[in-house]
Amino acid sequence: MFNIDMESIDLDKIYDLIVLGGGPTAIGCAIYAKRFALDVLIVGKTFGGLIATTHIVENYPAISSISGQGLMDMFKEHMDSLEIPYITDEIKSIEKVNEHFELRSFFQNFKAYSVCIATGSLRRKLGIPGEEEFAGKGVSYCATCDGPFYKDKVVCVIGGSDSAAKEALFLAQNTKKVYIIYRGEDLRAEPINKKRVLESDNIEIIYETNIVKIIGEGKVKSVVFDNGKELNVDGVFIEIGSIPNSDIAKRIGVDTNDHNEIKINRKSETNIPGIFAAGDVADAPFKQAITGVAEGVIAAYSAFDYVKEMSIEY
Amino acid sequence: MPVSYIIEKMIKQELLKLKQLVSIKVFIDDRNELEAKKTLSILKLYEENSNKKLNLDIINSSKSNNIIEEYQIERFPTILLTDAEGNECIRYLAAPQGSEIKPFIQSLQVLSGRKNYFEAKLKKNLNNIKVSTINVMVTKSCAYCPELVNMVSQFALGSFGKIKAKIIDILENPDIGKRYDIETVPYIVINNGKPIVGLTSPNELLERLLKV
Repeated sequence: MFNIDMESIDLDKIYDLIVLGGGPTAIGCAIYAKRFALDVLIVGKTFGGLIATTHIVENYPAISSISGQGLMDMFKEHMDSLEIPYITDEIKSIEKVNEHFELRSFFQNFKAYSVCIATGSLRRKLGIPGEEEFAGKGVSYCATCDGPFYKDKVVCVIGGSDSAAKEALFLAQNTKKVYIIYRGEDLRAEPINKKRVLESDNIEIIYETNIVKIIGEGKVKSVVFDNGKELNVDGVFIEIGSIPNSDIAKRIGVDTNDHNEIKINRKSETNIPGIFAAGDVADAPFKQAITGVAEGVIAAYSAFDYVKEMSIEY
Repeated sequence: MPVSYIIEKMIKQELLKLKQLVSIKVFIDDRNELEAKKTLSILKLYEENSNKKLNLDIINSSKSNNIIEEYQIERFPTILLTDAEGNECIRYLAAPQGSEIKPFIQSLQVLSGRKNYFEAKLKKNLNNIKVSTINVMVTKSCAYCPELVNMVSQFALGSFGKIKAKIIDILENPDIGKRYDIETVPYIVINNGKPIVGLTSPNELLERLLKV
């Protein structure tokens, strides 16, 4: 069953659970919900989520090495085997009406007794001059998408996380040179990836440095550091983390913390009964595909309990 | 379980859902024999798994000038998805393989009679949408591209001829990438307007179409 399968959804039905999101957390939640015999629908803006852009995943238990896209193909195959409907759309509002929620997108309206927000996170931007101007003209947020354009060229990766290290390793396969520009004094990558970066012949790390400006003429030509120095590059890959995609939650009064992450308890419950949250959008201290899936699974179980209790009240 | 097996299984499952016969026009040129063979072998895999619901109309440039002129075919291979009257809906300057399999099959399903999620809203706005071509620049390795190709294709199929979609693999067609000076995908250009860089949502796309 591929995306936007109109024949598998019923717009008049009140679903037991609608899961918002298209990444592993959302799919994991829906798989468990289906197995709990809940009527479940997934509405996601992008199938696969951020992990689909990861060139290699080596820490998802039982799968020693796979591309992010390949992993999500396996999630999809599992989802399809259970005939879980998936819609590509973006929910703009959620409103409690009597005992259920009404969810509205620009194209359709849906109804559900419970909702799991698994909308993940969005790439954080640097917010420096040149970033917007050269977006798509040398500034990129996705190495797997745009890496092929930089064959034998010089690029830089901004950031020092594990994701940044993996982006650099991917880019190093085809580019002439990759600079990692990191404000810290030591990479925060998993030791295995850090070792690979340090052993790479064409990756150089510039520590304790921020970039303050991206310069070019039609295309990126160089970046300027906070120490005034300038480095000539053809591409700038920004990998400085992400921000929770929690706007929809905040609009309906779901509590968030100072980082805009949705506050959840160990049952993946939010402060609003019937609204659950899981994955990168929630306030877990360590965000991984596997931890997101686990939270999503717990959310499914909590939604099952919630819907079951509602039925008893009738 | 190897991923290729999963993809193959999905292709078979999804093609069995075709309701009515769908015809695909494939334009090839003997001067580009290797590419023609590659494209035809992929499309024949689709045809073989379609339970006779998919028909390949192979058009060789050396033998069929009229139809090439009619559809303004400029490069080979080109794949056209047309409606029942033969009107062009979606033009592929990309092989429907890898990440492009899903949106390609989704389009075939809608052409064969499946409901289109966006159609009702598009119909309401049809009077305010000008005749447009949405060019979607992609690469095979782009994780975000299939979703966008799917969305734009569904818009084209639900627009009653107002919108045409053109799916372009810019690594296979580097001159087009160069023309638009593209270094990122997905990259959308509606007619010759301001580009949409990166992922966009269906409502953003509709809003942009209403401003054309």
